[in-house]
Amino acid sequence: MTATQTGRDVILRMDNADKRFHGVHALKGVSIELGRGEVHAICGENGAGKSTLMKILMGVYSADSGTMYLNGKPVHFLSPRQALDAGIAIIEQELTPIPDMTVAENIFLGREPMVAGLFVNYRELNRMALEVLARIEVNIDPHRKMKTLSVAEVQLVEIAKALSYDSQVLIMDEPTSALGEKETDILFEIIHSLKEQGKGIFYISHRLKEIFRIADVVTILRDGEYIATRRTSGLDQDTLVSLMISRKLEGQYIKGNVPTLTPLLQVRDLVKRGRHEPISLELRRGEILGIYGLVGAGRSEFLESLFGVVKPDGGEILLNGKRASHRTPYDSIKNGVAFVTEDRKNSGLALILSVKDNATITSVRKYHRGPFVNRRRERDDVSRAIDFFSIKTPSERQLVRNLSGGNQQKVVLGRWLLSRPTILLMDEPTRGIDVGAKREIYRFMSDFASAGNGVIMVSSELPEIIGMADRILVFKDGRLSGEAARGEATEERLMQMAT
Amino acid sequence: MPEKIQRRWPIDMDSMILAGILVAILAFMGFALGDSFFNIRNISSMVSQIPEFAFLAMGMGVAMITGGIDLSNVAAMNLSGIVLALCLTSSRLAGGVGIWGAILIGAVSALLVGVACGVFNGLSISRFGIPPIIATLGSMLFFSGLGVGITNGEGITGLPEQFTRLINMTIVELPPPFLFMLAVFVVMSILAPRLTTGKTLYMYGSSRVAALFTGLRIGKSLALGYALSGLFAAVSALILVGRTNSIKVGYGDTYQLQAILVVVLGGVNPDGGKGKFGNILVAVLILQILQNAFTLFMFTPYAKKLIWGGMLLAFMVVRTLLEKWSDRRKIRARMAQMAEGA
Repeated sequence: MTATQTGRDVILRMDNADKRFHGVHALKGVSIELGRGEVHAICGENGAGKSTLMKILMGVYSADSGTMYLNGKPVHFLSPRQALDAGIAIIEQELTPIPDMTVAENIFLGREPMVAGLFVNYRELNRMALEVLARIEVNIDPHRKMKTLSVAEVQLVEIAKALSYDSQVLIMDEPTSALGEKETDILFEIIHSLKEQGKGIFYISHRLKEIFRIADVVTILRDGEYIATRRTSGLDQDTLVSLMISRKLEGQYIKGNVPTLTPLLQVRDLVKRGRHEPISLELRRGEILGIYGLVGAGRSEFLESLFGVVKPDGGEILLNGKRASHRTPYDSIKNGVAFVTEDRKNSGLALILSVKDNATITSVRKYHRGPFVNRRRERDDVSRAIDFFSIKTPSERQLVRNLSGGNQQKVVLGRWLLSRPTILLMDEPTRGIDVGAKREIYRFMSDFASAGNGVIMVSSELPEIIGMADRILVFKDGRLSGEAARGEATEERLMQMAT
Repeated sequence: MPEKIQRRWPIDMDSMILAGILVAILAFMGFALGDSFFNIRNISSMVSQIPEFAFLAMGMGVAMITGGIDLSNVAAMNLSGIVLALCLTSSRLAGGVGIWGAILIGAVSALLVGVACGVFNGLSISRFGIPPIIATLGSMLFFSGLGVGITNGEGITGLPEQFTRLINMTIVELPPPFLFMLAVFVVMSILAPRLTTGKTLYMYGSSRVAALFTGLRIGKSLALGYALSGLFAAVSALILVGRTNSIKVGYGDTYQLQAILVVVLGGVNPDGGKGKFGNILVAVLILQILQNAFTLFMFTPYAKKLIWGGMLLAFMVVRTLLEKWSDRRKIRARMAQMAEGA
């Protein structure tokens, strides 16, 4: 057992972890230690480096420099498998169940008890699963298929799975994001009993109240840097928030648009069961409307209803005061709506097609009459989009998958530019792209709104949403939980409304 | 200036490889078989056999570009061939509108039947969300069943020679179906990647989710795409009926596997989104020459099947290995990007 200068009994220690990705300095010499029987929360905004740090601990990434000690001995994991074998397990934020397998099969995937080394002993498998589930007082039949489970139940199964490894260190990345209050209480009881067994837990959550309820110690990261480690007993929420948020310069946002009072888009009680509650809002000409909320608060789901990707159960949409029907994305686009999705690689772009094909796909109809294609107009439009956003690509024929994230996002914007929208929906428009490209996107948003159009921007980045939005709506658990005008919105206030 | 030429005439890897294979095979044929391969009779027999298969392959190409498959196009070809043959052999029809009228009515009905078969597939895939492989397997059985029902499984022969002569005549030593096929390949190569429906299908094939979020009219385009496959099957029927002077359920069954083979060989991504019709044509030529060589070498039909199957698998393995290599690079880049975003 290693005794450190603080006299604590330390299971895991990370010294000076440093990691760069393609020039992005994701982690700048972060040190952290986890004591036996300790719940150690890690706090920070999106992009602060929490997940990168945890992925290094789990052997998903290897750090560029820095040393890790487990029970005082230096270790170096090359894969999550090695980390698991050494006694470090993770409950991930993104759930990865195999829907057509049973609960028991999912829990013991790859570790099934065998008969004669050939056949799975299902009776034993189900007995073991029942035992693990009983340990956390969860009543789920191990024979059920994962796909029949609710999201909360899937989350509980993932927790059971992580516990089944009997690891000494458990990493929980947003474990309660899919849980209701009752299940959260169960999870916290489990965490208490794990503490008593002397295990160490890293706990990542955006929900600050939970951190004060369950964590002993909290480490704050900001922009990949270590900021502080504090005991929660001597800390209040405001201090924690002020440690987390960065005082970034106003200068990185470009904002020249001035909202008018003329309504452009009115949404009345738009609802989709199981995805979001009835939502009403108004977007005015010249306005950038921000929507803030935690992951899973129903923001993207609302945009998808608005755009017609999923069919809402009720509510109405008015464009310039007239009722509009958005039954499919095709209708929305015809009505001048554009949607820059959160996941550009999946829902935004066809990666194996060229820049040109991706840029012109929503407006191809413009370029042909019968069998004749006006290729000059098409090419002019593509070059216009490339120039407008200064997309860095060797040619319009380049496949989109070979571009950087920022340039891919600009191809998406270029496409919508060509479809001449009046309303732009943007979901996390600057996620994972570099500062230069971010500025160009901010400039576009501002210019677009200035021309009498409207933008609805969903973002999890507080400085960005405060820097760009004229009004900010806050979502929580699928409903609107607050609104703040530009000038009165502060990071503290928005975060309080969202949690 | 070379950059500009490159842009206007992009040369891709698949085309180069295919052209290379074609030249190599031709050279081998010349070397191994000499005049027994390169003689007018042998070549004109190949040229007359190519079109009916090429149209089936093009239809398959359309389906596979959407990420689907059309297992029913040979059955659709048979069904429209039967309709055509029935019109041609009906003495009542010929008595009413004359033999040329009957040929016209027969051809139009056959084409309509082909399109109907395709629309049927397209709707069951887009409207009801049946996976293409299952939907077209079902319709394959359904179309052949219809054909057997109409003909009692017997062949129809004794077609008017005006029709067979029309199909089998030559223009500058080349039969009209072959010229027509070349024209259609050119049109498809030019229009498929440019028109709305074509672009929609390429996009849908490369990413269904992105196609949905892009507001494309997927249902309509899929129906049109499969309808085109059906139309090509019907064109193929016209040629087949004219060439063999008969039709029977089960004609051309071996084309089904070969069509898939040739489309994959032609560089169409079986997962969809990628594929050029020009390359399919080259692949068709390669397959036909090999076919011809097997006949000249007197391979048994079983040996042929063995070779076709082996080729399809070998080609997929090579392709997968190539993709794995580039995927590994992609995954590394993607993980890095995810970390940036995290």
